[in-house]
Amino acid sequence: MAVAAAGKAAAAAYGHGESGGGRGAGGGFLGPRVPAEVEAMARGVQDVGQETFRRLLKVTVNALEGKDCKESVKLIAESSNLSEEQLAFLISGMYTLLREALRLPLSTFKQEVFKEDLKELRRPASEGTALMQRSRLPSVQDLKWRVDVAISTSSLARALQPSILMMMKLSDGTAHRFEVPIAKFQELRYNVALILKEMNDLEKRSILKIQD
Amino acid sequence: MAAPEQPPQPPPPEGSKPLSALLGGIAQVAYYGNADITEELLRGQLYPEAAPEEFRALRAKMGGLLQSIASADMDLNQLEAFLTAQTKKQGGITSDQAAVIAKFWKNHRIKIRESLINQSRWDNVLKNMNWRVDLKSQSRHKDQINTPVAIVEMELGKNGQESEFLCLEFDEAKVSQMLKKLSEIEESMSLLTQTT
Repeated sequence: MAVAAAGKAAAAAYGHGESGGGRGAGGGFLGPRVPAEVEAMARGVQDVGQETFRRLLKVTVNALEGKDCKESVKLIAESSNLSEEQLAFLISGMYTLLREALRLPLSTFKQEVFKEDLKELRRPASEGTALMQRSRLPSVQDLKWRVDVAISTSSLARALQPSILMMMKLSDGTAHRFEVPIAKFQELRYNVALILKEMNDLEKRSILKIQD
Repeated sequence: MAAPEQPPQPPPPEGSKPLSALLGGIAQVAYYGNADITEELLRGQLYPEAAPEEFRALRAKMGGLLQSIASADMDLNQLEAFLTAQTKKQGGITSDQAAVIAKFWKNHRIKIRESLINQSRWDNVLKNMNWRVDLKSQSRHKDQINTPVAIVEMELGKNGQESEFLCLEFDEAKVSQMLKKLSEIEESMSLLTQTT
């Protein structure tokens, strides 16, 4: 993400290579040293209105999902009175923040600690809540399927090829439609069964450990 | 009494290697998406003494035969019947050429069929999946321990486009539900294959 890289470079040039003096304990989930761009963002975000902040957050999440956000960034630049440099700081800082938070396995992701970490970075708790809700992974709400058999195609006069079509609705409101070839389906089924087995095994193991 | 002798197998005729390679080149372009293999390249590599028009005719004829065989996904019986008919035609093929084509099809049939099926897949296809299971080992609230969470990454892609990666989270109940659905699909499919 070009904007994030620009922000990182600019923040480094600012000389914020080390975490702030008075904080000592470091950035919590960000590790022992708060990355320069996150610090710079924390300072700059004080002057950003809530609406602009929400839009920046949306752009950051889109970027993390790999979508192209040049247009949205341009819109924000035009409608707010932020300079390009300020925008670069803010977006790159938020990007790193979210990316690091997302990298943690959900089980170690404790809401209260995250809120506290964000507070230490000097941001209002309400914005912390907005960030928190965005950084959960979606789960599958509904799965519909269909087995199709291709009888004949333009490339293959006699196909007789079964294929599975799936329509997955996620908790974040998105829907995904995709085809699963038979071989991949067997792989999928095997993996899901393996996941369930692993989950059961893990539970059994920890129960045995915790028993006094 | 002298035991009947098997005549020694004749070596493959000289023309078979270039023809086999020509079929390979045709398949590369038509079925494996390799557009770099041009007619000029094939002629220069395989039939350098042939005149361009002569080579073009050969390539067209072989390409047409391969197309008929691939489109019908011929089994060995159909293939034999088809090729024998071609040897008897005016301007058809020689029996040596028929043998080369037959050998080529036996080796490439499955791959070519797979490629043709892919050509009719226009939606996103599940390409890959990765996963891990996490478990809380410490928590302020004891009842939160031992709740495993699965993180699954699914790669969805179309022909020639960059893949989309879906990151999802499942608790044990959801994994169980998913497995149940997949078993239903499996049952439905085995019913299908029984009746065909």
